[in-house]
Amino acid sequence: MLDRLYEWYQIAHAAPSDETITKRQASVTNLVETLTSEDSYDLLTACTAAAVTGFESGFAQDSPLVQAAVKAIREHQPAFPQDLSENALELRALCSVTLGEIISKRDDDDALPCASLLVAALPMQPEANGRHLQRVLDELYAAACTRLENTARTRRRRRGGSVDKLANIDVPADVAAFWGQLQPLLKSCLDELQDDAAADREELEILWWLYAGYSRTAKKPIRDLKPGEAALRCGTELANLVMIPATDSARQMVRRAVEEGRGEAGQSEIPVEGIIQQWTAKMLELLAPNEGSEAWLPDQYPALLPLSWLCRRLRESRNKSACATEFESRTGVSAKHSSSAGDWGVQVFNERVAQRFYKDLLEE
Amino acid sequence: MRTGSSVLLVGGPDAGKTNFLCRIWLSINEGTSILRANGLPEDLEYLEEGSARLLAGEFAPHTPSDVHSRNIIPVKYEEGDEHFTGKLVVPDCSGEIWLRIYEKREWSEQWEELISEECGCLIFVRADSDQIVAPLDWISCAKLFGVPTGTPPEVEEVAPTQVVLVDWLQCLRDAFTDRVGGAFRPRVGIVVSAWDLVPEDQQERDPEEYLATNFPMFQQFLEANTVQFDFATFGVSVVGGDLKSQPNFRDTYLSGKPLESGFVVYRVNDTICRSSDLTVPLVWAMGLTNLRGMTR
Amino acid sequence: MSNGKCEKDDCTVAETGTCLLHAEPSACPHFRSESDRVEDDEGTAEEPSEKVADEPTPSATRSFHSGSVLGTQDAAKIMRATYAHLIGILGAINVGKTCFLSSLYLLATHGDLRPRFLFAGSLTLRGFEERARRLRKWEGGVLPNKLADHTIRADPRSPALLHLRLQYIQHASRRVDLLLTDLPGEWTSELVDRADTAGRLAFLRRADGIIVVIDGPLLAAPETGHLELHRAKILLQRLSDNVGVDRTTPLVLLLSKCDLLDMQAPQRAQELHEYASSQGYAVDLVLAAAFSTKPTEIASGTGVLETVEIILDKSVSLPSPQASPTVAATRLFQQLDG
Repeated sequence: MLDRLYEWYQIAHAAPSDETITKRQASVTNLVETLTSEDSYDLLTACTAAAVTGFESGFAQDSPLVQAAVKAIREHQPAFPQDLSENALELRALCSVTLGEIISKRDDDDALPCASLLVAALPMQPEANGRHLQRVLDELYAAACTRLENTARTRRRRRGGSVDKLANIDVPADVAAFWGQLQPLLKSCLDELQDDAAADREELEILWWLYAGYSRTAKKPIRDLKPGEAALRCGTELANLVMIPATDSARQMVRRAVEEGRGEAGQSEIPVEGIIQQWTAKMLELLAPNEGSEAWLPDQYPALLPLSWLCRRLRESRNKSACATEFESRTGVSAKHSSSAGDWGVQVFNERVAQRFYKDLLEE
Repeated sequence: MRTGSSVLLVGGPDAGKTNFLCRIWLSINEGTSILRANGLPEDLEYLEEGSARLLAGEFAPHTPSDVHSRNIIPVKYEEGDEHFTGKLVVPDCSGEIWLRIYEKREWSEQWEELISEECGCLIFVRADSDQIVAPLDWISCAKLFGVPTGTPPEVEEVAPTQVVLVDWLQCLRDAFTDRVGGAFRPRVGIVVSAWDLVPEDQQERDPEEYLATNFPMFQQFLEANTVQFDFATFGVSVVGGDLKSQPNFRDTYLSGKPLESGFVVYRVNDTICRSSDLTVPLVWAMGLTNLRGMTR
Repeated sequence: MSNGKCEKDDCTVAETGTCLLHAEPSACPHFRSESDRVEDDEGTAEEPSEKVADEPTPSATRSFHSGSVLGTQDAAKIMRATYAHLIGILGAINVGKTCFLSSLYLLATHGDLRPRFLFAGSLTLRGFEERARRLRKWEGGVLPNKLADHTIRADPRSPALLHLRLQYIQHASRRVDLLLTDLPGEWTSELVDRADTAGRLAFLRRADGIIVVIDGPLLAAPETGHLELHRAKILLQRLSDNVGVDRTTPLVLLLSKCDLLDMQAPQRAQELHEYASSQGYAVDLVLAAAFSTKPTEIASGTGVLETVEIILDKSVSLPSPQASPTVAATRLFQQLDG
């Protein structure tokens, strides 16, 4: 989002000079390079967390991201203060622009997991302490949604074309040469068919799931479930069915599935502290599964996947009230934050999709 | 284990810094306080000059504006698990120097080199001092704004005391952030000196209440900046009365035990404590106690 | 322009002649002189009539913030650490802009920001003091032409920013930094008359709130009220059309000196309020008495803190783009809307 650098930087400077903007452009370029050249995804994830919640809590002075960000600025402005108490918001602006640039401009898949985290985290965050800061977050969110949707649609585009090439192949006399020509075309053809079939299968599975209105994990019709339980089960069930990144239409399907047959009652808002009362211990595994012993992302950055963090915490401690109180201090989201059951379902869906992105990254 | 500690005494003219310093020197040297001497300072001239006055039944005179005394006192402290043996640096200077810092917006190497993790501060304001400048009141301000442009102002350009106090704290915060880091919370004790001059019904109350009544903006600053500083408030009377104007007090003081005179008042949780050990604010500013252990 | 430059990267002494740290650039240890020739800067104010700040002490090790006012670069020190709410205060000469600032300051000094706020600090205490004591007035002659980048110690009356930090009492971890503009009344009047003066107010696009101060008695009086209303409407249009202020920016129409009107809003004030609403502004009307002539009936400071609270409480987001995928949805499956 270098094209939005001036407006976004105004959160930290009322009237940044051309010289300052030029220096920060260079800093963003440096930081993009640093974040995307690392083997592990840790720095990019930390950058995402910093953009969402800021550096005021959860980041120590000597943390790798703080050091990388300060270095990126100091390479072009040596007098820049390095103490977090003096530069936290400016670093946040830098990280936001950097993240926006990676999400909107880079073609590689580095952008997708952090875009997925932004989509999961930002809707639940309380309104920012300042309209210009809120604008930055809104624009970042829009950029993340756009990137995910574009990628989702591209992945599901039915290709074809290789079959025609196969039909028009010139058959040489030499078998080996013929096979050399045929094999890649065959492979390409079969790959396309496989991808198309996967996309078709996704559609069929989802549509059947939606049509049936039946929860596979509860083994009951969805309409018979309490709203909070429906949100958790529908969000996770559909998130486990889709190819990632998911299309926005999949989110609408979650909402429909949760709200179907509930009438106006389905629209009433439920606070966090209310929805967890409808979740049993067994259900919590749906969003806080036992997947390996690696450090779990929500534990590192609770604000990015707040409901996931909450489910894991509830599994560890059965004291729901205490967890609700801790939820607020760890994620920045109030325990009284309310949404309709459908919206909770979408939030669960977004978080489970983001978890799948990260699980795939670890497996790579 | 650290072997050095410094405590800055901050305050304007007539704030009571020198009398406090000399009084605690007497306690430290006599061994009647929790902080004890561990030998004699090499240079005692400044401390002895003030102490001599106190022992003769007089307050130390106004510190000349060119005086800046470093005062290095070897001390030891043992209480529970907390031990300290080392040098305590307590610089003293005239209040005018601190006012000059407010006016000129700068300070010298002498102050700069003291700012470290081992540095605490005591900020002094004397009850009932004629040097205290009240804030502008609504009526005076309204008159100023009602006056036609060009008419000379009726009030002088003298900064109210509470404005200067807040400003000092902001400057100290700047210096600590730069030299030690933004996460460091320096200990800053607010000392209301001449506590014996506070109305009697208020003397057994929390000194912070005195600040809230007389310096409301300053008190709110303290309340709002507990993340940036570690504050405590003390009411101190170095000799327990007024040697100058309280009838018969001087005679009583001289015929008694001057080295046991004086007291300090402070709050621990909901309890107002009173101690005859005047080094309590100093020991707290040095980081050796959290006051909870000093409820006697 | 100066005859040297600074080693510190963010100091513009080479361009402005103003040192970040010292009144005299030559006293600064980071300044490197190149020649003795000093060029004039056509855009700066004429020589101030106030006494120039004292020469810095040669042994000075640390310079603190000036305490007087903040330029935009000085304000960046606050803004880069934490989100600061920039509040633009506009109004013609003598409408009461400085009264508003001084009244707010007096509320703070007397601990009267409660029950909602505590005073948590200010890097411009001296600036507030000077204004409250009317020790700083705009001099006649050439006015400064732009908002100062840095605090110019020799001319503390440059248009600049005053700082006030408040802490919410109910939410002890929430603090808010206010940067309040202190601008000559002529800037407002000139903006009404000429669009080409809008450039120096461009920083208001970053404003979190705008206060337009209007003289209450002048608006109420028949012989002056029509013109006041007319010019106020033009000002509102200039703000959005020429300065570029977004109309969702919280706007307060502050009617000053309302103690003289017994706190009754004149009809023209309602008219202006309705006009501003019709133009799409998120607008409130506040009747204020910064310094009341009848303090026993109408307290001094009435309407002042309320104005700040309105701006802080107003949660009107800037318009932001929605997600806009560029890859077409080729299947019905991808076109299900919420």
